[in-house]
Amino acid sequence: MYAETRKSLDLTIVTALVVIAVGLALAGIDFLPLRFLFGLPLVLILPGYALVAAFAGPTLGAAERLVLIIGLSLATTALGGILLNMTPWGLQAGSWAILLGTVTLVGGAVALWRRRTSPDQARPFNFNPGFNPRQLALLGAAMVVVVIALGVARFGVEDQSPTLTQFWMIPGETNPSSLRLGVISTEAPTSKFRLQLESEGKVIQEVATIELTPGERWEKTVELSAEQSPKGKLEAKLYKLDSQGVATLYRWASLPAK
Amino acid sequence: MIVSTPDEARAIERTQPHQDIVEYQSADQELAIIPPSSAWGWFPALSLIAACSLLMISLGYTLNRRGEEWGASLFWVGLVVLFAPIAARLLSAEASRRERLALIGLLGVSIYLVKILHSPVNFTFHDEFIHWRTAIDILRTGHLYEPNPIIPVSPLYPGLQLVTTALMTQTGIAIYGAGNLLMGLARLMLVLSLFLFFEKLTGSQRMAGLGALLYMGNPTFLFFSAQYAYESLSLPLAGLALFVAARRQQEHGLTRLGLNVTLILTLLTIVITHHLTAYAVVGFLLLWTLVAYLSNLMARLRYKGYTPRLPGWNFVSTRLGLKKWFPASSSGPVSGEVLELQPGPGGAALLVLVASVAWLVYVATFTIGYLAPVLRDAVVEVVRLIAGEASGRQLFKGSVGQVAPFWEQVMGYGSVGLLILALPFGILHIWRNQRRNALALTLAVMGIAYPATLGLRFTSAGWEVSNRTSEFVFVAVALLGAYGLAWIWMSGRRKSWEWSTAFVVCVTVIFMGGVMVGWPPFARIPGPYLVSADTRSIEWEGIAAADWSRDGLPKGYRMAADRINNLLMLSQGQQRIVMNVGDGVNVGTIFMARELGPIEVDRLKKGHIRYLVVDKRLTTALPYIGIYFEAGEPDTGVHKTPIDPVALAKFDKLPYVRRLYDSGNIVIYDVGEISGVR
Repeated sequence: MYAETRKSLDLTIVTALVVIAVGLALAGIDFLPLRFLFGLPLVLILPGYALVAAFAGPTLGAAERLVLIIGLSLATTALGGILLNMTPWGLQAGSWAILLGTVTLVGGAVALWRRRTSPDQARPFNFNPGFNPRQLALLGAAMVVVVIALGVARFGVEDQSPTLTQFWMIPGETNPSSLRLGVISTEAPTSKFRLQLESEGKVIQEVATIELTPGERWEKTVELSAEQSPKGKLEAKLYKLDSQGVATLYRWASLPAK
Repeated sequence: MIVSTPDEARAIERTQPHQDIVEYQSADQELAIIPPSSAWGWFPALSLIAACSLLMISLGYTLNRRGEEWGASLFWVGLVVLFAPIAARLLSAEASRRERLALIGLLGVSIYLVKILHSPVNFTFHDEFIHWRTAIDILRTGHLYEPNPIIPVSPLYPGLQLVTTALMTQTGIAIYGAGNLLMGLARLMLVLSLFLFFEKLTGSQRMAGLGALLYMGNPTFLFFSAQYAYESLSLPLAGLALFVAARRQQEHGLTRLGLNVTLILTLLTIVITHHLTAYAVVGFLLLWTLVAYLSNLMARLRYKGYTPRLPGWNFVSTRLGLKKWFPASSSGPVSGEVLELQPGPGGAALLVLVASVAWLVYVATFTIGYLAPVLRDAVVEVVRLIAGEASGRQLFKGSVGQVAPFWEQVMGYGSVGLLILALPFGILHIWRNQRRNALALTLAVMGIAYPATLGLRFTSAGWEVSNRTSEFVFVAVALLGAYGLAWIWMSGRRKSWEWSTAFVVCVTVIFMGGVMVGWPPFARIPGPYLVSADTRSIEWEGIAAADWSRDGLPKGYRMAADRINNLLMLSQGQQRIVMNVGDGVNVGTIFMARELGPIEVDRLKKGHIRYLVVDKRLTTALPYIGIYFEAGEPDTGVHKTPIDPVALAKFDKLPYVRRLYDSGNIVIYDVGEISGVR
C-alpha cells in the first residue's frame, strides 16, 4: 500500500495543486504570491505533466518528457482557449481554471490507471538532479549574479528617465465651460509653477501657484463664469518659477474660440 | 552501434565524432538509474560563467544608456564569454548526455536573458506592443478577434495571447511578466527539442550539441525570435513537432499513440499561432513526404534488382572518378533481406495543410492581403535586380547612411562564409551515410535553399523575408553545418588544442556574425533616444503620454501618430490607432505637410480621426528605420532632411483645433471639429 502511494505521489501532488489553483481562481482571491505559486503550474506545467504521465512509456527520458510537458501544456491552453471562446462564459479566470483543471485531472486519472494496470510501462517521472554541495553552491552563485545583472539593467533604465512635466487642459464633453487642468512633474527636487488662463493676451483667471515634489500630481476642475468666458482663443499657460520667482512659459494648452 | 560503457562511447566519439553512435546510456536506462553527480560535469561552473557574462552585458547596456562608448565593447565581450566556453565543452568528447542537454538549455535561456536585460522594465520591441494590445483586448472582452489596426492579422492568430491571458488571469501578473515568462519557457523548449531532434537524426549527442549550437547562429535567434510575438511561440512549437514527428516512429503502443496526439495538438496550435510558421511546417512536411515516397520507391526498385541511374551515369561517373563518392547500391534482392520502407509524415502534412487552409478561409482571410504585398515586392525587386534595373541594397548600411564597423562586416561575412563552406561537406556526408534516411535527405534539400535566401538580402524588400526565413532554414543549415564542420575537423586528424580552439572560434564566429547580420547596430544595445528607431525610441516621455491618454481622454475615439507613438498609444494608451494597413488612410501627409490643405483634411475625415499626437523630436533627425509614420508616407525610405518644424507646428495656429496636452516634446491635439468627429 505504501509502495503504491509512493508510486503515485507525483499525481497526488498534481491533484492537490490543481484543486487549490482552481479554488483560488473561482473564489477570486487576489493575493498575488499565492495565485502565482499555484496559477503558474496550472497553465504551464500541470496539463502537460498529467497528459505525458498518461501515455509516456519507459523509453522517453527526462529531457524528452520535459519538452513534451511544456509543449502539451501550451497546446492545451491555446487550443482550449479557442473552445472557451465559443462558450457563453468566454475567456475568464474561472473558465480557464476549470478547463485546465479538468484536462489535468483526466490525464492524471488515466496515468493512475496505467500505473496500476501496467506498472512496467508507466513509471513515474523520476528526475533526480543529484547535485553535490559544491555544484549547488556554484548554481546558487550563478542565480545571485543573474539577479544582480537584472538589477543593474533595471537601474540603467531608471537612471535614463528624464525630468518630465506633463500639463493638460480638458474641456467637459457636455459643459465646455468646465475645464479639467492638471500637472505631473518628475523634476527634482521640487518644482514651482504658476498656472493662469489667458485670452487675447489678457489673464482671465489666475488658477494656482503649484509646488510639486518629483512624481506628484496636481489636478483641478475650473468653472468659467459667463464674464470669464473668452471671446477669442482660450489658453492655459503653465509658467515655471525659478528660485528668484521669475516666470518662464513652460507648457501650454489651448481651446479655440467658440 | 550500441556501446555499453561510458569509456567505450568516449573512445568512439573521439575517433569518429560524426559517425552514427548510439549512446552508452539510453533514455530508458537514464530513467532507471540515479546518475552520479559527476554526470553534470562542467554545467554548474559554466552556469556561473554564463551568469558573469550576463552581468558584463548588463553593465555594457547601462553604460551605453549613459552614452559611454565602451558599453558596446562590454556587450560583445560578454556575448563571447557566454557562448565560447559552453561551445567548447559541447564540442568535447567527455561531456555526458545530461551535461550536454543542460548546457544547451543553459545557453538558450542565457541568450534569451540577453534580450530581457535589453528591455528589463517594459516591452520595447515593435511587434511586442501590437501583440500586447491583442492580449489586452482578450482580457477586456473575454473573447477573441477584436481588430488590431497596426497588424490586423495579430488577433486572427491568437495562440500566443491565449496562453498569455490564461497565465495573467491565473497568476495575477502583468503582461510584461507573463509574456517574458512564456517566451523563456518556449525558448527552453526550442533548444532542447532541436537537440533531441538532431540527436535522433545523427545518433550522436555530440553532433546534436553542435547542431543546436549552430542553430543559435541564425540571425533572428538573439533578438527577433526572443521578442514577445506570435512567431517566438510558434517556432519552438515547430521545433517540438519536428522532434515528435521524427521520434514517434521508433515508439510502440500507447507511447506512440500519445506522441501522435501530441504531434496533432502541436501542429494545430501552430496553425492558430502564426501563419508563416504554419506554412513553413506544411512545406517541410510535404517535402519530407515526397522524399520518403521517392526513397521508398527506390528501395522497392532496388529490392527487385533494379538500380535506377540517370542515362549515361556510369560513363560520367567512371570518367570523372565519382564512383568513390557515389557508390553503386547492391543490385538484386539479397537472400533473407527485408524490404524496409520509411513511413513519411503524410498524415501530419495533410492535417496541417487542411487546418491551415481552413483557418485561412474561415478565420484569417486577411492574411493573404497582409503577406502578399511583402512577398510580391521581394520577388519584383529580385527580378529587377537580376535584370539590372535596380541597384540593390547595400549590405551593412542603414537607411540613414549609418555603416556597420569593418570588424562587424568581417564577422558577418565570416559567419555566412563558414556555413556555406560547410554545407557541401554536410550534403556529401548525408549522401554517403544517410541517403536512405528520408528526413536527412529532406534537410539536405532544404539546406540548399540557404544560399538562395541570402540573395534576397541584396534587395530592400527581400531583406526581411531573408531574415525571417533563416529561423526555419537554419534547422537544415545547422545539421549540414554540423556534419560539414565535423568532417573538416576530422580531416585534419590533429587533436591538438590549437585545432580544437580554431574549431570553437569558427562556431563562435558563426554565432557572433549571426547577431551582427540579423539586427541593426543601433537596436542591439539600448542607449539614448534616437528618432524613429523602434526599440531606441521607446522612452519615458512617450510612455507617460500614453498613460495619460488612457486615463485622460474619452474612450472610443480614433487617434493618429508617428510610428513610435502609435505603438505606445495602441498598447499602453489603449487607443484606437488609424493607419493605412488597417484603415486605408495614410496619415503621414497630415503631419508632414507645411499646411493643412484639402488632402490632409480629407484624410482626417476619412480616418474619423479625433486626436493627433505630435512628437517634435521628429524634426531633429532622419528616421533610423527609414520612415517616420508608415510605409507610403512621402519619401518613404529615402528621406533626405528631417521633417520641417513648421509642418508640426501648424496645428498650434489652426482655428478649431484644441491643444490638450503638452509634455515638452509631445503634444496631443483634438481635431474633432475639422474631421467632424465629436
